[in-house]
Amino acid sequence: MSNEGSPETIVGASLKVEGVLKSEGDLRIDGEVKGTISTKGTVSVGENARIEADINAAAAIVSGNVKGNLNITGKTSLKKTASVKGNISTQQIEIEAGAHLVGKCNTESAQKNNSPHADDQQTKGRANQEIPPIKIAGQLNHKESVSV
Amino acid sequence: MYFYIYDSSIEEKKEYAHVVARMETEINNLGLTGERTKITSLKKIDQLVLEAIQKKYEPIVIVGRDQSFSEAASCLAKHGQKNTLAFVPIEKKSVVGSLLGVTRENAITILSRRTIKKVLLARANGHYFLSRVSCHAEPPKPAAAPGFLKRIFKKNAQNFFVPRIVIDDDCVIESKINSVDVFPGFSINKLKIKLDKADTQRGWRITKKKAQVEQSVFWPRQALINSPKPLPVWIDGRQISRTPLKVSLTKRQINLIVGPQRRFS
Repeated sequence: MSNEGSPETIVGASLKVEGVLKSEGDLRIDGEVKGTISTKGTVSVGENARIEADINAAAAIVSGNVKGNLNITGKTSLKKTASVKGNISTQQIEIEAGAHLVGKCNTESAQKNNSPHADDQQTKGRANQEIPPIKIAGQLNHKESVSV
Repeated sequence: MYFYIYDSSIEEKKEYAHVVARMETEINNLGLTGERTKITSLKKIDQLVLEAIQKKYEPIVIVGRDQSFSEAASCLAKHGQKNTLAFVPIEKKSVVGSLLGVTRENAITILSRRTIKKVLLARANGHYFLSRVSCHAEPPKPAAAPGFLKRIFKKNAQNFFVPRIVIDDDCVIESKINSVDVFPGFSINKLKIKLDKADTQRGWRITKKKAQVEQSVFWPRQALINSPKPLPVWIDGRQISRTPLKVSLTKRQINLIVGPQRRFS
């Protein structure tokens, strides 16, 4: 019988999904998704997941392979096995050593409050401007492509 | 006035007769008397439910198996009737009973309390269902081998199928799985679709590993499940349809008497 606690959508490791994958709760992906992913909750991308889709979510925890843009209203975590090819727009980002990110990373105006140059700068901080460091383990090349 | 519809399965086991006798004593003690009738080959459950509707009996109490209750609920939903439906399961393990929070021990007590909930019904290929719709691959033909070899080398052959599942007209799933199960998610007004895929069990009897089942879960409002060849579909335990299978939530509601241990709010 149905367990109606919290409606978590789960995409199993051997499953292939194509199209618009929508959810109202959390979304856990261990398989293959092509298209668009949209949820009001957290998207967790497993180590063996392969995603060719744009992701729109409140939070994201990425451990697998993503080709597409991430539009996250909250926090984005890229784990050490993560590989993201696309732009990330998020409020807060955390990148573990070993993660791969090829694309632009935009963090939101939450950075403005902590920045000593808040009055002078544009509030949408880019990785190549002088803003307080975000949590990354490794080196940053201040160009469009960022690899750690 | 109560209207009790007794399932013909009551006569199958002595155990059921004891349950019914105990139940009737409780009914008399609590003053829940009413008209009693039985499903026979001449009088099907649909006719009995319609009879209860015409005579304006309330509630209609089904005494018997899950299937009889599902048929009664389906009949009420088809005719858009608002009569309250109650269930007294006679089986020890009743899927519908556990959904409603009713067991054969506490059914009459719950009936006397009359906690009524409106429940949205889901529909599968034109049939309303309450607990579950399932579809799985057909079992493979047994391998040709002498009997003693079959006992020693027990291989579970793969009984997969590759359905095409369209969810909410938005996304398509096409993968090898063992079974598809659909449950109505009453509290959240969605369906729960569960796809199972088990690894093949291999090995000798002693070293055989337990199959790992990979589950996928989706929560749509409707879904269409198609397979390369028509497969049987079980709706609330009855095999009454075949793929393609269309499942959706409907706006039809029925009133059910439920217990505190029900699986929805």
